[in-house]
Amino acid sequence: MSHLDEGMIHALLDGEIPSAELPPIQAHLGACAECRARLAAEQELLATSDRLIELIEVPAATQPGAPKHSAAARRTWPRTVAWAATVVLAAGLGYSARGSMGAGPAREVSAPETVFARSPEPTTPAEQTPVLPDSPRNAAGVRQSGPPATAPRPTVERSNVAVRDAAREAETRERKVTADSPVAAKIAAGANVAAVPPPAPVRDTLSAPAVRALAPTGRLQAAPRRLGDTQLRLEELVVTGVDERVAQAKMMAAATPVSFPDAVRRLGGSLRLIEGLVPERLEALGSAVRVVYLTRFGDLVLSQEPDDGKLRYTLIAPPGFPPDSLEKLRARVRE
Amino acid sequence: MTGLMAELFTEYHESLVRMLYRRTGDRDRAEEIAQETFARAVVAPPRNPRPWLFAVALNLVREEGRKAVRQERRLVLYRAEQPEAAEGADETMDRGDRITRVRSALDSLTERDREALLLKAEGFSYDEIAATLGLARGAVGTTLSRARRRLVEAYRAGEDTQHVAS
Repeated sequence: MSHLDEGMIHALLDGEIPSAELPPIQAHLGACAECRARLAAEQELLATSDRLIELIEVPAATQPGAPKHSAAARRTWPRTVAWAATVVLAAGLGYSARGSMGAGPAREVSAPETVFARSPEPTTPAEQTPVLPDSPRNAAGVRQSGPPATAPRPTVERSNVAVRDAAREAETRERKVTADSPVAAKIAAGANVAAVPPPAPVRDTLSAPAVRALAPTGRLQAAPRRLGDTQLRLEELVVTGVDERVAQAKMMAAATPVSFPDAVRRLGGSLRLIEGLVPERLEALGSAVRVVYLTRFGDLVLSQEPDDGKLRYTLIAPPGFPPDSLEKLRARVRE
Repeated sequence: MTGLMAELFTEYHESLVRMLYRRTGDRDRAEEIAQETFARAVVAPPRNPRPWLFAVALNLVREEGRKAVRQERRLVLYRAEQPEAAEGADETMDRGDRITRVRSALDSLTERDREALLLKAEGFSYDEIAATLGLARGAVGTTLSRARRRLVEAYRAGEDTQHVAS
């Protein structure tokens, strides 16, 4: 095999090489010091680049009284009125959806932390390319009418439940980099890379505080410090914030208590805990095992679920849980 | 359909606004473009919402950029961008400087490189990036590697310039 090109190195670091294609790459890395060095260098570059981008955070809403620098721009935007109406509508719907959920029956409850998990490795090439129903390039210019009925209609609780609250702090990345740095060596040494889960699921949802901060005007108020989405790329540990009511309803509805041995058995012999914390209880929810810790903010849950031969870990923080603490706890998840 | 709209909004709004803010440097504009994007999603509900929404939003940015060159205004905004006040004055200055430099570094990239980078920062998979930008999946790694290298190089070049100047 010839040297790895940069695209391949980055795909490797991004966890985007299907496991079936890994062996020759591993073999080459094992034999080629040059590529190993490049892998390490590119890993550093990638981390630096991520850190730089994450420096740019959306600022809090403009303070009242302060001059609005984009007042002029607003006037030039042609659809101001239309979108304003839209957002009010959306915010209102958001509220009503949340409201109904709070009082909602148990059937509305599903396993939120798994809903968004992307299938890590599409099984066939055909599935690898998501199909865009409309050409987005055209969509910008022309309003298109689509067949609404064919659109998959996810359940309402999904959007609310999956409110994810995770940190987008540069320091997180730094820590991750340090934590991950053996990766290059591991890959090079022919470690079982195939067993390393690809990047954790998406980081695209609104944080719970941000949802709550949706004022009737529809403008996002100063959201509390975003937890963003800390994800340990290689551990596939997702930090999630979940609406309290949903979390509670869910637990009452579906989770059943399990014993420690049973939990370990369910997970195939490996249960992770947060070092230094005493679990309050263990529960089973579907195929997931949830380790529940009591905090003064509510239940902190470390959910672990077998998925495609791997275990997926999700740390679910109660609303209001300090991001800093969550970060620290995340680093203390141990087998 | 309205339920779907609420879902899309809840699920993608923050990420979309963040991406747009990084792209445009203007919070209000980012939110406006996000709203317009969601408004279009109501008209034509996308089957694969995330790539669709981000593609439409990026198109709007490009379209608007063509219509009116806002470069000048944006530069002013870069300077006006205020980091969080909680930090110490020096740190704040430093952070503000760094953000400004990241922005200029981002601006120095090609449109495609920049977009790929910003989408990746929102957790997009290669498949999703390919779908959003109309790239071949196999080109995503190369695009990202180039974009990352150029971003870091441009950022460091800005750093050097500044050190020489001060």
